[in-house]
Amino acid sequence: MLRLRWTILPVAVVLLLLSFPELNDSRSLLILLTKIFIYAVFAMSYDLLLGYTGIVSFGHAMFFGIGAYSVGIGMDVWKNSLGTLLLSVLIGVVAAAVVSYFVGILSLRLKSHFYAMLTLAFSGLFVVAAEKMRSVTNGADGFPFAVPEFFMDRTNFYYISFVFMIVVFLLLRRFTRSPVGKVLQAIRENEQRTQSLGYEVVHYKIIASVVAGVAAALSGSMYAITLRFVNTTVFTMDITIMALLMTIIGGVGTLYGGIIGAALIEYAHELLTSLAKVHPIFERWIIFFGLLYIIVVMIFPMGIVGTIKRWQTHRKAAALGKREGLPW
Amino acid sequence: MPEDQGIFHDLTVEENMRISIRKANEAAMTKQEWILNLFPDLKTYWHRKSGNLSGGQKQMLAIARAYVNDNELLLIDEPSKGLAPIVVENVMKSIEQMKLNTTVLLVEQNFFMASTIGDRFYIVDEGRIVHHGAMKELKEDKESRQKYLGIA
Amino acid sequence: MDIVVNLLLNGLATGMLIFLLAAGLTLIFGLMDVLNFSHGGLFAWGAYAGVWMFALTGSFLASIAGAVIAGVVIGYIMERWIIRPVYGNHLQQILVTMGVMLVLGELLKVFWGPNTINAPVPSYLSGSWQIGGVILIKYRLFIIIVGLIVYLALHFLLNRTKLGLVVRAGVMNKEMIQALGYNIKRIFTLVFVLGAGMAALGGVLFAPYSGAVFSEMGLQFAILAFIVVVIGGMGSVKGSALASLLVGLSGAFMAYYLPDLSLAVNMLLMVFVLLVKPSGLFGIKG
Repeated sequence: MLRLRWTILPVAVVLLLLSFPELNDSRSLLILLTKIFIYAVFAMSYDLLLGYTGIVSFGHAMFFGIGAYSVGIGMDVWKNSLGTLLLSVLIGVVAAAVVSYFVGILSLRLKSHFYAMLTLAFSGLFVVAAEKMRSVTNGADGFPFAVPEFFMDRTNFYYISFVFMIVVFLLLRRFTRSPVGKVLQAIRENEQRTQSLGYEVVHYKIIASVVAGVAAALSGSMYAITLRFVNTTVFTMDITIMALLMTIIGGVGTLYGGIIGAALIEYAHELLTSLAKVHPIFERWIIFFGLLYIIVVMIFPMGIVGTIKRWQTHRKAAALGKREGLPW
Repeated sequence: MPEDQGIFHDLTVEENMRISIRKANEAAMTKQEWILNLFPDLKTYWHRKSGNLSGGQKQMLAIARAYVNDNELLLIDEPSKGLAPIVVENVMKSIEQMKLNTTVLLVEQNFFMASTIGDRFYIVDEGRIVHHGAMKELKEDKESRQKYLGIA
Repeated sequence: MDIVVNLLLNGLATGMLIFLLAAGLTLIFGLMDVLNFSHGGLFAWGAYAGVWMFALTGSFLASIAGAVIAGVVIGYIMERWIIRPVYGNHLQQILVTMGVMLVLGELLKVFWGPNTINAPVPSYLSGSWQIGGVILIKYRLFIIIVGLIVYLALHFLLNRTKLGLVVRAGVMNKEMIQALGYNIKRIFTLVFVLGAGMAALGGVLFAPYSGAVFSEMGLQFAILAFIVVVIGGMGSVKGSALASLLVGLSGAFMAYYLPDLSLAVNMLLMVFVLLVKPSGLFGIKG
């Protein structure tokens, strides 16, 4: 009974979102939703690392930026066409995979602290590199580029990003439910035990890192396509922070959490920055989320969706008269 | 006092002792003098990093530290392990002194040591206390000794 | 020759500043197993508070005092109410301190605005001396001297006092320290606050050195501090000192000869250390 109720909701939302452009004329809302879909993918990719595998990365912006810049540079250097666009995206994916693989090999075998520090430092390196390589990136100023006309239409792109999000969501969900995904969750629960069971933990972590990196790069590419512009901000800590906030506040360890977190934060972002005209304090809207984030980390490690799920599990378990194991 | 001694390997003997003395008053100094006389090796290696001591010496240091540390309850885990008999004798002497001011919970497989210095005993098997009482009684009770400890 | 001396001074000064950050970081990690990702925020707050105090009072000494006090207060609040509750859970610690970093950075912008603020050098410390044919910039010498004093003070504290002894022992084995009857919570708070104060000091000294303060400065210096802590070894103040000088000097020389590579070189050093000896040069914990 519960199961049915919970599946109706997402299906209804999906239908609503699909028909949205027909129902509503608001262009800004269209753009906002598009952004939410794109960030949702970014957040979900981060959740794969943090929520499912228990890896804290402070350099996730690296991959986002790689995806963004591949598209930007590709479309800038080559003729504007669907083929070159796809090629650029592909290059971004490959580059992200390679980088995530190497960063993983280097640091995933060390303690979590080291990985967090290293990824922080690496992403700083990318920012500096992007700034310095002016000939390619035009430094901090960035550069605009063209995309095929089909993508320029806001409504079209709305649908494209929506489908993008759904597809990635389904793929990631498939991944987390696969044997590999289960091992990752085991690693999150108790790394040593998983290792002693015979699983080469580092290999699995690297797999998670690569999958997350690729997904992040894709979202970065989409982001760049939306803006038709790219600059060094795509590599900055701000972007990684977004992933952190969305994942934690939305709910770690549940892919839905990433979507909800993205929706919450982007919506609030939009709302609060428009309020900034009323009072400048709203320009610092992110403080609110920072504080919320801290509270969530301290008290509700599972975020909103996660807490609901846990509550659900509790009820189910209580009904069955047996205590179930809890995630995290 | 854990079985792996819990001494601070990178600190010298002197530092290990100093840190165990919570209040450096006359009483504490007297105590320290006494225990160092009992274990003269510690005086010899006073400035040596404790990680570089031999196993037995580390053991002595651990006991000495426990001795000067003011506490109400002391848990000692197998202090006689790996020590030469004469040293075990000195360890026993120090624990008997400790008994005067502190409650000592001693885990020991060496029956001679345990029975000499212990007042009460608890025999533990598979996590359960299977027999307990006054040490005096156990010394007389050949049957129990045979049954629980397998010794005469 | 002139250039080399200049770069040396530069490198040493930067190294000292990084040391102020790294020493606290390494002690906090060594003792408490907490990697404080908000340490850079304390650095930035020290800088801003210092500049503000200086503008208010015109006294550099007051600005230093103000900065350190700010650092100590923020550090205390952080340790007591945010870090202590999540003590023991590494994941939560890492996440929470990063959150604090974010909030600290944004609060800076709330109080002082998002723009860069000028940080003037006090008149009696500006300018330079000429010895032989070499120019020695006064403020840099000042930083080096302060850094040296702090190092010596820290050394004295750690090696000659009972408190320092307890801290060093705690880094080795914190359970045993508790077993010996010491109140580990108070020691944690003390060490954390000490680290925070040093970080803030680094910030207030850095401000006139660079001429300006901006909200991202925290993160930038924090990254350098992390690199140093890894190279020097977690828990080792000596290691941080050496590594700070190394990183500072390499940064200064790189910035002059091969400017594009300076961060890369430091990173390469860190990567190298992580591959070869993850516990660092003098690491006590791996």
